[in-house]
Amino acid sequence: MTESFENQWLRRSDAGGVAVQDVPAALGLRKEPTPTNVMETQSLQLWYSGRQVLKGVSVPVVQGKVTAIVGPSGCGKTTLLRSLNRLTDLSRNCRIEGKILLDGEDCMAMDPVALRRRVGMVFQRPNPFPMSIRENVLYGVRAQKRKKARFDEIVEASLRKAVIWDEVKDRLDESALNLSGGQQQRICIARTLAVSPEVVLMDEPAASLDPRSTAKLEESVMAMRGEYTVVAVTHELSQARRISENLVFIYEGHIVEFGETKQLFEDPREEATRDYLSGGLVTSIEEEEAAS
Amino acid sequence: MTARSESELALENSQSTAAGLERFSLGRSSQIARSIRLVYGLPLAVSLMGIAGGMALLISDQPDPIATPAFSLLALALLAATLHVRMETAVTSRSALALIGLLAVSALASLLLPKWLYGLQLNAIISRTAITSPLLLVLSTAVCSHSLRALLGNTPGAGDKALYPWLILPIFLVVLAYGLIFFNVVVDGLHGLSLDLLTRAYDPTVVAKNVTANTQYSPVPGLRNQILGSLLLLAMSLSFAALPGIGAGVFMAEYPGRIATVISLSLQMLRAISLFVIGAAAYSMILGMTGTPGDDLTSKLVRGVSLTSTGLSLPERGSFLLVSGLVALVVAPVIAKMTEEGLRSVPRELREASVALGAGDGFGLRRVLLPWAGPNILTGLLIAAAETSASLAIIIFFAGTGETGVGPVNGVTTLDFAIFASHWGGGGNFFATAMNPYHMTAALLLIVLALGMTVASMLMQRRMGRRARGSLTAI
Ligand SMILES: Nc1ncnc2c1ncn2[C@@H]1O[C@H](COP(=O)(O)OP(=O)(O)OP(=O)(O)O)[C@@H](O)[C@H]1O
Ligand SMILES: [Mg+2]
Repeated sequence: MTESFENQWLRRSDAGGVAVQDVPAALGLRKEPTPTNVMETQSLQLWYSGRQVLKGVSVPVVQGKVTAIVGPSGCGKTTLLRSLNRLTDLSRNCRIEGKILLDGEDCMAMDPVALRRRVGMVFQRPNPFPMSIRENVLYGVRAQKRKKARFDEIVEASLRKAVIWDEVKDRLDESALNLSGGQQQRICIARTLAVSPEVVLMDEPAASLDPRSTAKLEESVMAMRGEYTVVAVTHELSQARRISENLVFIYEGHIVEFGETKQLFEDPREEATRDYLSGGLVTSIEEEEAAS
Repeated sequence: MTARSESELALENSQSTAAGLERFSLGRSSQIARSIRLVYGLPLAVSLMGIAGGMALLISDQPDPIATPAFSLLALALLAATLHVRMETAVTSRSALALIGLLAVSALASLLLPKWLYGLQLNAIISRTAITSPLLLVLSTAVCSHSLRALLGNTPGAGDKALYPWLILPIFLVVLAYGLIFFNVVVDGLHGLSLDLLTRAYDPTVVAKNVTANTQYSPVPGLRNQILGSLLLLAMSLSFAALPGIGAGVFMAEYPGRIATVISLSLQMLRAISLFVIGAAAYSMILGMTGTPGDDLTSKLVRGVSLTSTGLSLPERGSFLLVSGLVALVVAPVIAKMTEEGLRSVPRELREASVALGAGDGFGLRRVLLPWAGPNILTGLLIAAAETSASLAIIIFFAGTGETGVGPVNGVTTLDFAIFASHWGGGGNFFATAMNPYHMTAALLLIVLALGMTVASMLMQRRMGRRARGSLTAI
């Protein structure tokens, strides 16, 4: 792992003999928590039935931040996300090479159930269980055998975090299937938050929602900043710009660029990123490949 | 619309159609077209009567008196409608003409047919109804379909709806066959039904009044133990079969691989073996296995025992325990198959949701997968139950008259055994004599049992389905 910026800075100022304690505070650096990578993939490669989908992906997932994954359709965003909590294990034709680390531990060596308890996931299409709203939220809690006494608290807190509490607080015992699609999706977020995972994966969570539901959903993702680490796949660049702090751009199974969202949008290093972020079409890589 | 435009429209229609009937009613609002359509009500009504008559003839075994008039009437009705159409639009439907021709030939033929047919290769005499009634059914249905087509005019669904008579006819015939059988069972069964019969057990030891040197027995008929026996066998077989069946189903659906394939294949092969073979094999195996009848525990459990009034225990032919075990062996594959299908129908999204929330296999199975598969499992249990109550092929080897009571280690007895033995023997002469008047009553009770089970499980299935599946909102 690379040394954090703050540490590097501290070391440098040490060498310079400056009064160390005061300087970071004066520069406002202390307010920022030390950025650490909760999760990290190292040259991850993935094949479906012998066809390579991920071709050496290395991305860090920074603690407490929203990382957005963008890229054209079919480039492997969903696949990358699903490999992070080993949902890819469910596909029998899938083979993985490379490393995935969670807090420095090798995910491949972990018990998959234990891994999924720490890395939750919200799917592209709302998939509530055919149960009451309350039972949906408590599903993971019950599955993980957490303490009984605080069930009501957990339900309220998670529904609040998913910005849906006000809409459903009077009908917690109704079937979740009676809700609208947007509400269902927020229930799915609530049920993921209810087990307080270290990392929350979201696969185009707003893909099937209308603008108003999308706004609500974005609101709930923003509310998770700081407290949760979020990795969200999205098709909508404007959404990525609004909700994310870091941005990963994938093209055909390669990471083209990774960095702070703001910086990538304003001044991308790669020409392909510039193409994609400005128009959604990538010409430069294809031209390069055609040339070579 | 004015009168002129209507006639113009009709004229236009008639001129532009070559094929005839199909298009003459194009102007749906025009009165001519409507009268043309309505006139087909006549052949339609006659054809419905023809179908009813054909069915009635099927049941009778007497030479029919109505075939010739029926065919003629059908022909006339259709002819009248066709002529009316021709007068109004100058179009004649060729298929109608063909149908009228067929009807005329049939009318003539049935007039010429002798009332009884014999000789030829047939070694028996049959009435001509055997020929005329199917003919009447088919031709009436044809007329029905034709008239329906014309009546509906040129609406988009007319062609499809005109096929309905052809689709419904076989259903009617099947219902008719069932109706006949059930009618027989219900009438004969109700005849022998009485509270005494239901609440009394068959008892062969009642002595007739006039006791002479040779004791005369006059067995008391009763079905109580057969009813209880059927229910006990059902309960025991299902509880033996449910767990292995569901377990195998879960294994085949959730852990596919070589072992699952082997299990699946062997279950399928088990299903293909006749119950008779299983019964016969088990019977001879048990005879060889148990030594002196009635002495050792195995013998008591497997063959069943009955205590006489003097405290002597007598061996039976087979216990409820044994037979329900055998039946379970036969019906478990059904439950396994249905469980497997139910689990395979669980949407992938729900599986993934459960897994992603950190639920282990067992939790997901209990809370999501099995509830979802519940209706399927219930169907499996129902099929299994139906097979249990109709497992005569096994029962025949082991059942007795049930005179010593009902319990897990008593000799097995069921209603279907009563049906069989009271008519065709198998329970000894006493049983056959005493129970003979009641064999249709036993059949009636078995039908009621099956009906009750079906209704109950349908209600349960609907409740389970709504609770466990709901409907995933499509967006
Ligand atoms: N289970 C699977 N079996 C075989 N191939 C798969 C499977 N899942 C995905 N793929 C393939 O992997 C590639 C990447 O798919 P993925 O779903 O990751 O794309 P994506 O970037 O999420 O696209 P989109 O934006 O359209 O959702 C695609 O070519 C797809 O066909
Ligand atoms: Mg995707």
